[in-house]
Amino acid sequence: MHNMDVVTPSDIERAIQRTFKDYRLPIVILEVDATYDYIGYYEPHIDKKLSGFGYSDRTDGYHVLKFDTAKQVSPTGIAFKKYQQDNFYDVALCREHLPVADRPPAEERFVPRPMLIENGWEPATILSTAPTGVPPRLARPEFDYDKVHADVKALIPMNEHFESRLAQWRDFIARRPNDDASYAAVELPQWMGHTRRPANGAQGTSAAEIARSTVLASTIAVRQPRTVVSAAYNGAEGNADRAARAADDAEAAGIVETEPLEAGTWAFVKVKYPEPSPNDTGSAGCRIPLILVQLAADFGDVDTTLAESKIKVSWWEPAPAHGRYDGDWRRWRNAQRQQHESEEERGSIAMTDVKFTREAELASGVRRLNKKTKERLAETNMARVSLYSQYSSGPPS
Amino acid sequence: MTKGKAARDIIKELRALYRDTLRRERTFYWVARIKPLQYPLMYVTWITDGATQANYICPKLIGTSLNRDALQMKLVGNILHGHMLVFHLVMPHIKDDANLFCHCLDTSLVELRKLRIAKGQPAFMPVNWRSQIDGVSTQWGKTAFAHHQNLVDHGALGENTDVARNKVRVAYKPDESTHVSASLSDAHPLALTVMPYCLWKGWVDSRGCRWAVWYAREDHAQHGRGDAV
Repeated sequence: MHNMDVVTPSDIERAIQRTFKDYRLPIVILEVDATYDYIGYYEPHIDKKLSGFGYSDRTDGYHVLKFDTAKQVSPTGIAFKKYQQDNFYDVALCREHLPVADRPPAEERFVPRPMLIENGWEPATILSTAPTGVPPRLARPEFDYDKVHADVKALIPMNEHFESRLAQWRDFIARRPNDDASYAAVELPQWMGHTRRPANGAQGTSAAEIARSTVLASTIAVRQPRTVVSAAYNGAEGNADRAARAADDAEAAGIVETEPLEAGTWAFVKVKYPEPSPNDTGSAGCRIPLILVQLAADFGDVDTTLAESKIKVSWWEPAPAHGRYDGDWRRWRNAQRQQHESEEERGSIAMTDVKFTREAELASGVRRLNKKTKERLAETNMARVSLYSQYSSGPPS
Repeated sequence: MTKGKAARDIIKELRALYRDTLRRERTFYWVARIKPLQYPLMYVTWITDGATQANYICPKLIGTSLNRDALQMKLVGNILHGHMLVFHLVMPHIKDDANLFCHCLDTSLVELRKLRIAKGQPAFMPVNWRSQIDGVSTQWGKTAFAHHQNLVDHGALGENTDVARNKVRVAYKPDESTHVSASLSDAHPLALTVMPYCLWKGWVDSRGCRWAVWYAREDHAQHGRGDAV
């Protein structure tokens, strides 16, 4: 900033953003037009005797204040300490720096010497009574923004940018609280609107406790499938579990088993969505993992058992746009009201043999999945792809 | 400077002792400010400082004396280590006093809460909080203390909250200032790596600091490390 021309207030913000363009953490710039009257609010509640902690821009005075709810260092839960180190080396440059008992006679030549200052926590109180209510807004300070406008008009260079810059200034000054009403409308942080820490000190107080709670929170509940085969049970659960694991392992290894497709039937295609930016939360559109398609009426000479084969499909979308598997599906149309069609790889087809409650479309031109199809989408293995519970109104019915 | 070698040696020893103890005092901050990155659920450290006001007069034209008041803003920088950087552009009608200090703390808390939620962390603050502040009375003063206590009592800050004032800049010169004027340069990627290197290597003299800067630059250039703090 020291070596930059700054003509409008937005130049300052731009300069800050430019300075920190490589900074990886978020940067927030807030304008301050009003504050609470913290000083007046706390003044009657502060311990009248509180003093001696020292303030200066030098190392005089105390350096640490601790609020220790557990009262481990102070019976009041509050303590000051002169230095952060328990033993602080200082240098006495003259006899006055030494404690009286250790001072050499005044007539003796003084030789600078180190002092080892032992210091501990000194209990103290700060608030003698608990403040209640909300502090008032600080009275509106007088400030002449008209004069600022006049100064600016005289100072900004007369060139082709003059008018646009002056307009920026007018806009900036118009946003300032120039009267009591606009000052009262300046937003302040909600008083003590912070989320209160849980009374039991949730998240633990040590790294080990936090690690333990993090690990426990990530626990996955697994029910052992019934695998023992006997006259009492046929072991179907165990078989299904082994088959599902084998299929998943094969998929993870890139081996996709593909059955021949039947022309004109219905299927679900896996869709990859771009990652939403943090600012897009809630507005990133429908992100349902599987989309309904109808396969082409004729595949020609395409080998539908090969994962890389291109299959022509026509697209359907959940209705409304933020819809669900168990809601209505309607034709996905483009701006010209024509249904979207494309060619997709056979490998992206996650589920075939999709069926509906009615063979034909419903009266409003929509389709609904039948119970069996919804159950297949919700099956443990498929649910990992379909995220059925997340994109449905309830269990398949 | 005395011509007597014995006296010079005494002064050197005294100076070395004093420098060492001041460095140790400053090290508390540099140790604390790394912890939120390592244990974000346990620690938050906040440092606040105002920038030199002369740079934030607007319009400002280099090499030109304007002879008018124009708009003298103040800039306050707040680093919440490992989380974010919050700037306050303070309008000229707002005084630089304890009210502004408390406002910066409150609004930084609001912004931090939003960010922690977005990161999937709890909305409430961790058990350990450290405010690193200036030694001036607007910050190291009764109103600031009272507001910290009120925030602790309301559970807005952790049960173990420290307010510290001491110079935090890497300074070869053993000055006694308690200003935290390093806060903005503290945000610079390079500065973030220099201090850990100093601590790691135990380098405590000017030559050591130069080596630390060199190593930090190399590390940053080759591995991109250090700038996520």
